[in-house]
Amino acid sequence: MTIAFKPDETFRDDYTYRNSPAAIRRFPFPFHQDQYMYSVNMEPHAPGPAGSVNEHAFDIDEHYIAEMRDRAITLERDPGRCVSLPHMMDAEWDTLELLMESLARDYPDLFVLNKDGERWHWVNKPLGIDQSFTFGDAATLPCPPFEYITRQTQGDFVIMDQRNGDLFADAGMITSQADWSLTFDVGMSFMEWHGPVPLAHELGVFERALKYLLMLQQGRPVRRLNWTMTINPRLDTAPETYPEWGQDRASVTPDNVGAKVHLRVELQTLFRLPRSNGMLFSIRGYLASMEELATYPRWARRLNRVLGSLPNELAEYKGLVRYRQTTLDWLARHDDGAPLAVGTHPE
Amino acid sequence: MPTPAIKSQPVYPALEWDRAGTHHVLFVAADEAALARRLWAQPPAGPITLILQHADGAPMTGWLAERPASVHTIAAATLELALKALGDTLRAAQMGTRLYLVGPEDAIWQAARLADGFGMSRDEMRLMQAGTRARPVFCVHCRTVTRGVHTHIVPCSGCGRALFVRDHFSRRLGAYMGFQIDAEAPGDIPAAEVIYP
Repeated sequence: MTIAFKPDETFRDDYTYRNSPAAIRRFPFPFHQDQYMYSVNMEPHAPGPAGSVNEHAFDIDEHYIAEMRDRAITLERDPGRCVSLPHMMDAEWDTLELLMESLARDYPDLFVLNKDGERWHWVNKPLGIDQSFTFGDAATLPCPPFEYITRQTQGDFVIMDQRNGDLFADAGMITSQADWSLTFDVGMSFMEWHGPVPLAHELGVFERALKYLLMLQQGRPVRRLNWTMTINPRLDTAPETYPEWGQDRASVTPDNVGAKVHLRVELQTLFRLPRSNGMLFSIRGYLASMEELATYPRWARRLNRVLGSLPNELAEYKGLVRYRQTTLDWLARHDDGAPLAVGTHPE
Repeated sequence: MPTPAIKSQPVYPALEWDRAGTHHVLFVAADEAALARRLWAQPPAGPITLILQHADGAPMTGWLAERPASVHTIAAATLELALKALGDTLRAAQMGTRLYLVGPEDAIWQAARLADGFGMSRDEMRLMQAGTRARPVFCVHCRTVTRGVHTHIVPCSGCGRALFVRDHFSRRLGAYMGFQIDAEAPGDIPAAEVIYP
């Protein structure tokens, strides 16, 4: 499949990001029923249908080049968005290997990897990169291996170190997060890191998730979806820059809600790493405006019902309170109230 | 102790000696006479070093009066000097050393980080909050730590923003997270209330 990249679109200032009809159609809409509550909801990350976001291990789409430019801008402003604790170097190389091999295998027209022993040659055609380096020798790359490869792969990444029956968030490349701070959270245990999430702890979600993940085997990745909402198609909604984007939440009006309010879905995938026994956690975000989603009436109806019945604690945590009613008023116009069959499909 | 609202917030079990240890270093930055009496009543085997921070002329009577005669005591007038004494002690410490940290969170987590730097694992340290509940607060915008925070909203000592103090705690930073309270509605800052006496 050829991807028609949109290299000039932006995720800040003039916000020219838009989804093509094909991108809307493959949007990973997360609500299969009319109510939402946290659950472990993990399943094997097996290859999905051609064209879907699950077709390949790591999804590359039309926004690739623009997202990588936005990441570079964020890193330029705040290098602390990429952190790796000193004991994570093996896991960094594991990550580079997994990403390069996956991308070259799944997108042979875009990425090429040739190996001659430890001498590797990497070509990234969309970004115009041609790099020879020695695997395991960080001095042969322009920056450390984790930063190097995650500057070239869509989505945020955390590497978790497994020890003492726990998973520690000991490295991360986080430039498009839903309001959590890598600078603050790096080094935390699984429960500490997820500490601020409401309700889920009481439901035992994180306890079960941790138990499940500790058993994760190499070559058998798993996935789940998570979601929030974002005002404007903005990737950098970090706590660090909250003073820059916080006011956007108060800017939603009945006239602009369709274009301004975005559903933000995270395709979260987890891969066991071979040498370090660490775990790569990929948080691949997708943004679609209310207008884009409503091109499939089923999705607008579903979202109206989910958002309307969302517990207040979750609305508060996800930062939706200021614009939830305005968004519901807009969505209600697209909802005839007829029952919807279970499922996330667009039509 | 009540269950914290946020799971990253430390919970401190009542302090007991770790009798698997062969050397014991007790770092104290708060008077806590009842605890002192309980610990001194049944000291563990092996040498004990007491590093005692006398803040603001606090008498520390329990720690001093009832300690066994064999306890090696180092008194420090400030937290900085107490941490320096702790560093000197840990530099010379042997395998089997156990560390006990008693005091306000700001003091005990600075001490814990120092011990991390000497390669001590969390299994070899026991922490207990005592004295003031004042919080160290890490500004997520400018990365400055504001110390001794008693209120739920506080001006950042670095950037001046009015920070809301969350219950989310980083052991690595030894601080709670603070973020700008009025980022969505500039100027809308509730009155600060004393919550951490």
